[in-house]
Parts: sequence; C-alpha cells; structure tokens
Amino acid sequence: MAVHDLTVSSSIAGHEVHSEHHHKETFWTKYIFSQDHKTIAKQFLLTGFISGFIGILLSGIFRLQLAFPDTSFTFLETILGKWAPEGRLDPNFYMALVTMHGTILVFWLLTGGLSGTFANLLIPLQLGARDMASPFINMLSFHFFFWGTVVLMASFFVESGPAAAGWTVYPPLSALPKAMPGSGLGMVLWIAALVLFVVGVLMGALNYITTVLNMRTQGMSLMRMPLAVWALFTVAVLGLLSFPPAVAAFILLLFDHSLGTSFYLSDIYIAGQALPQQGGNVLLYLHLFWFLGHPEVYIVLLPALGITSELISTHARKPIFGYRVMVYSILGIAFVSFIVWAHHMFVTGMNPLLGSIFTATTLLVAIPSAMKIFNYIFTLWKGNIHLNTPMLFAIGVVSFFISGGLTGFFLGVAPVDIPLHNTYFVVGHFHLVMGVSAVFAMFGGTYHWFPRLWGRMMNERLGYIHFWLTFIGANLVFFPMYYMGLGGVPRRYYAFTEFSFTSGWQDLNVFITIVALVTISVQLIFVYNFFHSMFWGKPAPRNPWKATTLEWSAPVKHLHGNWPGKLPVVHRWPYDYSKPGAPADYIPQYISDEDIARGVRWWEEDFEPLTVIDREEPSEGEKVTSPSTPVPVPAISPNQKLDMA
Amino acid sequence: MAFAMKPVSSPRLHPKELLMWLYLAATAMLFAGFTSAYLVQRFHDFWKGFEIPPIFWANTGVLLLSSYAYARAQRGLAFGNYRHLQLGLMTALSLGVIFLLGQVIGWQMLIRQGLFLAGNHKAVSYFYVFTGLHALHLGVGVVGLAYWTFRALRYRISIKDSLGLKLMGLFWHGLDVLWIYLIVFLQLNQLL
Ligand code: HEM
Ligand SMILES: [Cu+2]
Repeated sequence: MAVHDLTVSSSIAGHEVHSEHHHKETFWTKYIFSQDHKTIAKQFLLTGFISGFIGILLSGIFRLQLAFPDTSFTFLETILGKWAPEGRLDPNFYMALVTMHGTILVFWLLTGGLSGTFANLLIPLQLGARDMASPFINMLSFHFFFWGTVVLMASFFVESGPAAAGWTVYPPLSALPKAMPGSGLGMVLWIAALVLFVVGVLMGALNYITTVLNMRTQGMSLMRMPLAVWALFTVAVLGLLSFPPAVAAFILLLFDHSLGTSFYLSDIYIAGQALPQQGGNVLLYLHLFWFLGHPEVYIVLLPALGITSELISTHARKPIFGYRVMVYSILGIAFVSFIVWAHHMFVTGMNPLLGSIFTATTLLVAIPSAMKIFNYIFTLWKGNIHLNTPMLFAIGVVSFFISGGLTGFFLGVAPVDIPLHNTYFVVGHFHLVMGVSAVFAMFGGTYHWFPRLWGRMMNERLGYIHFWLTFIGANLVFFPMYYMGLGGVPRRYYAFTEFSFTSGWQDLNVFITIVALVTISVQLIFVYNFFHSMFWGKPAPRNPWKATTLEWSAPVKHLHGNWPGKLPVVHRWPYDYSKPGAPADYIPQYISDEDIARGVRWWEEDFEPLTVIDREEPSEGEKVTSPSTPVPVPAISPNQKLDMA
Repeated sequence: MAFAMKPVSSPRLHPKELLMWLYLAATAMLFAGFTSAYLVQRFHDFWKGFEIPPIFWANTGVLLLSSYAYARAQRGLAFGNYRHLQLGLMTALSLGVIFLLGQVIGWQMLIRQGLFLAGNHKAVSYFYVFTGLHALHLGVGVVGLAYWTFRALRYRISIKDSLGLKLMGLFWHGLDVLWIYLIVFLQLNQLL
C-alpha cells in the first residue's frame, strides 16, 4: 500500500512539474490570481465560510448578552477590550454586533459565498463549457469580493467600532456621524465594503449570464439545463438589476454622511439643537434599499433551491417532478420579487391602498413557492431515497422553507404585519426561511460537490452527526422566536429586563442562547470534516453519486479547460433517473440512445464519454502535434473562443 | 500584421460583447436608481431650481464629436487605414480629456455662484452626484482610450483587435448616451 501510494504521488508530482513547465504556473497564478473557475469557486467557498463563521461567532456574543444581561463575563473584556468594560457588553457594541452579523451572513456568506461558489463551479461544468466567458473578469470578481471582506473586517479595529445601524443601515442613524459610535468611520467602511462587494457580485453576474447564454455545449438547450444552473442564472439577472440601485442608495448615504448633503435628512434635533439638514426624506432610502433588499432574499434563496433540486433528484433516484414548472416558478418568483418591496414598509404610514396593493403582490409569491415545495415532495414520493448527508441537508432546506415561509404570509398582510413588525416574529421568519435554509443548502451542496472540488469524499458519519445536531438546534433556536414575537418582544434590544412583557420571556432567552451556543460549537464538526477530508478523505471516483449531469464526466483531477481534448455532447435532460427499461438507474446527459443501443456501460468506472465535440481551442497536446505553421487568426474570433491567453 | 481590406462583421453576438452590454445595463440601473431618487424629491416643497451653466451643453457637443471620432477610428481599422485609426483615436481621446476639463470648469462656475454639493439645495446636490459619477466613469474610459491610442501610435493594433476596439467603443458610446440622457433630464427638470 505504502509503495503504491509512493508511486502515485511521484507520478502526480512528475505531472505537476510537467504542467508547470507548460503553463508557467506559480503559487500566485495557481491559487491567488487563478483564472480557473474551479479554483475561484474554492476561493469563494473558503472566504464565504470563514466570514460566515466569524458572523456566527458574533451572534454567540450577543446571544450571551440577551440571556444573561446582568452577568459580567471577564473573558469578554479580554477579547473585546473597551467594548466590554468589566465584562459587560457595551450597548453600542451590541448594535454593532447585530449589524455585522446580519451583513456578513446575508451578503458575504449567503450571497457572495453561496452564489459565488456554486455559480463558478456548476455553470461551466454543468453546461459543458471550458470556463467562464471571461476568466479574467471572473478573477476580478473574487478579488473585489475579497477586498470587500478585508475592509469590512477592518472596521472591527477602528477606534469608534464597526457600523451599528442594523444590516439595512437606515438613516438617520447611519447618516449622522455623531449619532452613535458605530455611525462614524465604521459606517464609511461598511459602505466601502459593500460597494466593493457589489462590484464583485456584478462582475460575477455578467459572466454567469453570458456563459449560460453563449457557452453551452452542443445539445445543451436551455430546457435541458440543470435546475441549479437555472436558479443561478436567474439570480445573476436579479443581482444585475437590483444591486445597482442599492449602490445608488449607498452613495447618496455616503454623501449625506460625509459630504454634507441632505438627501435623507430633515428636521433632526440632537439635544434640542436643530441640525441644518432640511428637505431630505428617509422613506426615499427605504424604497431604494428594499428595491434591492427584497430581491436580495431571493438572490439568497433561489440558488439554495436550485441546489436542493439537484440533490433531491439525484439522491432520490427520481426525475425532478415538474421540471418545466420548476423553471417557470423560478422565473415567476424572480419577477414577483421586484414588485413586493414595500411590504417591509407597512408601518411607515403609507397610503392604505398602496399597502393593500403590496399585500396582494406579496401573497402572489405563494403560488410559485408552493409549486416548488409540492414538486420537491412529489419527487421524494416513492423515490429510492438515499438518506446520505447531502440528501438530509436538502430535505432540511425544504423543511425550513416551509416552517419559515408560511409565516411570510402572516407578515405579508399589512394589518397583521403592523403589530408584528420589528418583533422576534420577523427574526424567526427570516432566519428559518432564508438564513437556515440557505445555509443548509450550502452545507448540502458542499457535501455533494466536495468530491468534485477536492477529489475526495467527506466523512458520512460526521456529516450525519453534523446534520442532526444542527437541524434540531436550528429549530429550537428559531421556532420559539415566533412566540416571543407574538408576545410583542421587539428585535434589536440590548436587554429585556426593563419591561415585564419582555422580561417574562427571559427563561426562553436563556434556553435559546444555550442551544445556540451548542449549535455553533457543532459546526466545528463540519470544519474538522471539511479540512480533514480535503487532505485525507477517501479518494473519490469520478461520479460518486451516480449523477447524470456533466460535471461528473470530467476527470477527478482538475484540468484547465475541464475536459481533456473534446467536450461532451448532450443528448437528454438532466434527470434521467430510474428510467424504465434503462440498463442502470441513471443515464448521464452525454449518453445518446445509440450509445445505449450499442451497449455502452457508462456505470462502470473510468468510462470515457463517446460523443464529444471539438469546438474550442485545441488542448495542449493537440497543439504540440499540429504542424508549426501559424494558425490564421479569425478576424472576429468565433463565438466560443476561450481566452486562455 | 495582416490587414483585411474590407469590413468584417460578426454573425452572432460575441460573449465579450454580451458582457459589455450587460455591464451597460448595470450602469443604466445605477442611474435609474438615482433618477428615481431625484424624481421622488423633485416634487417636494423644498425643491428649487438653478441655471445649468451653458458650458455643460458645450461639453455635450465635445463628447458627441469624440464618439464620432471613435467611430471613424473603427472604420479606419475595418478598412485597413492605419492613419484614420490613429487620427480617430487621438481625436477621441483629446476630446474626452477636453470634456473632463470642461466639466471641471462647469463645476467651478457653479461654485462661484455659491452652488455647492453640501447643503439643502437638492437640485444642485443631485447635479453634482449625477455629473460627478458620470465623470468618474468617463475617466475610466479615457484611460482605456489612452491605452488604445498608445498601441495605435506604435502600430501595435491588428484586425485581431477589432473586438477589443468594439468593446471600447460600446463603453465610450454608452457614456455618451448616458451623458445625453443626464443633461436632457436635468435641463428639462429645470425648465418644467
Ligand atoms: C414566502 C413568502 C414570503 C412572504 C410573504 C414574506 C413576507 C415578509 C414580510 C412582509 C416581511 C417584513 C416583516 C416586517 O419587517 O415587518 C418579511 C421580512 C423578511 N423576509 Fe420574508 N417573506 C417571504 C419569504 C421570504 C423568503 C423566501 C426570504 C428569504 C429567502 C425572506 C426573507 C426575509 C427577510 C430577510 C426579512 C427581514 C428583513 C428585515 O427587516 O431585516 N422572506 N418577509
Ligand atoms: Cu421582502
């Protein structure tokens, strides 16, 4: 065994030397300034997970405060310094923690991390493309995201602390530098980080859209695309349309904050003194923000559901129920998400007629959402369900989408929302429907595509434990919040000791905090599993889940250009599982009916796809053997030219 | 470097071209955001107008000419006329720089009238935001033009580059269209 390993590793090492010779790859070009979409996917995954982990730790600190508002924890002073004098959390810093928690998890983990990882990994690989339309812009996309992360994290270390106006950064708190410590430099850094982040997201989105529209392999019609790609594509369009107006909102906010304009400010008195700003309008900010803010929640959710579709179908060995309906419901949700934003503003004193209109549009979301849920359940129905870790997490997504999504309809009805607004009911709603369900999809996707990313399997047993503890923990943390919200407990309060109607819930707060701390700790199992498997996991076969989609037809060891030589051709939709009369319980997309008739045995290891096409630059080997006359360069490069430089 | 003697056109949209169109769509959404903010506040009691210095209209002409010169440069490339390519690019670049200088002069005229970004005069604040962000984008375009001009002057552009020049052109003409929209929109709001 040892001898065998030695030969394998030496031959791999030999290959690396060889390829280094060819591409002149250094550590920097290979890992930092990589233009390979698979490496960029890993970069997004790691940056997303690391910032997500920091964001979750923040919530551990403020949960501690909520459960034990009168206790002093000396270790807090050790780590937080002046923000926890004598071990008691500073109220200003409590707000900063909540703000950074929300920002990091909504934008960094569940937008940048989730879409960035899976769009980069899946769009080229599942569509049979060699890479993104512009690998260079793709690289920049990650680098903007990364520097945004650095700026955001740096704001923890400035004198006045990070931004502290909630993840929605409403003015005037966010627009008046003197309003509270977190309104100072921290706020400027928050805006700077978000602008960098958005630029990164947009660069990604441009590439994702173009790659989907322009770079699909032969036979990959739109209606043969896996649902994950459909979702990621739609989300890129959503982002392209909704992030720029949010940037406009942030730019105006920055002007108000630092340059003395008054777009959002009017009639403000501080300590009896009127501020000079007049004529501004806070509602303007709310409209601009939520025009992004609501689509944003679907920018988070749709990729999660796309991933769930892949996992459920593959691991239930059944075609997804109602493929077309699924596609149309993705598009439908995306469309409706643009006309519901004012349901976040029911308490702003809007015209009741307008409130009813937005109630109506909001309730429309029920139709496509419910269709998706039913389709998941019908897909599972009588399936040959393999309850492995990815499948468990996928079912978890569906469960949280139901338990969190149903309360959305309470909140969507203006008269019901008015008493519930800004209570823990809302906190419960969005954590279950968006937070936990998208995190579960990200976990499920990671367990599922880990072999594709790192060529090794993650540990199943640890995955099981991780799933069950997290599933139970997340339900125990967030479900009780509905009751607290119905009891009128407001969100973003530093301590609930002052009023009897809130202090009555103190026991529940203690319970939630303890479960939350345990659930946070449980994530270390995942961290261990992730890094351990990366180096020492069981080596993965090419198609470990016996899935049909194209990413599993590429070699385990990553190649620049994904497929050696030629590209697979697509002959069928992506969900041919358990097809009656077929020789195996799955038929990959690149298998034609003639292949089947000829008796091709694709379920055996190391099968090479038969039908391939050559429609891009010749691979390295072919170039070497071709005659050394210079190839005439076409005036305008053909449609699918790859810029491998 | 071989030069084709007749214009070449792409039968289908090249991916990079689509990318540029999508980028322009994102920019359009950014300014749509600003526009809607403007319109929301436009009808408040506080709103009052101001005279837009005519130099901004003169600048509009400069930018239009620059776009035209750029189109000439592209034709030069397509017909293999290096002289036209160089001249066109140099003209487009210089006019771009003149536009930026003109904008700076325009802002100074506003400042001399006591119309500042800061303060409660929303129409003026918006004017600075709109024109400033446009100028920022245009600055990027000038850098791009300078790059292509530099290459053209050193005879380092071939027909292979027509895609690159086309993308640059989309960006440059896009900024032109954006500017015309902005100046017309802002002027109409002063008149109405
Ligand atoms: C299924 C239909 C849904 C409806 C009808 C709905 C409705 C609402 C309403 C009315 C609010 C505002 C509550 C308030 O602040 O008073 C809200 C908040 C929120 N919803 Fe939903 N929602 C739905 C699904 C979702 C989904 C799928 C997500 C995420 C993937 C989501 C994420 C959020 C977030 C993040 C907030 C809180 C924003 C904040 O104030 O910080 N919702 N939802
Ligand atoms: Cu919403």
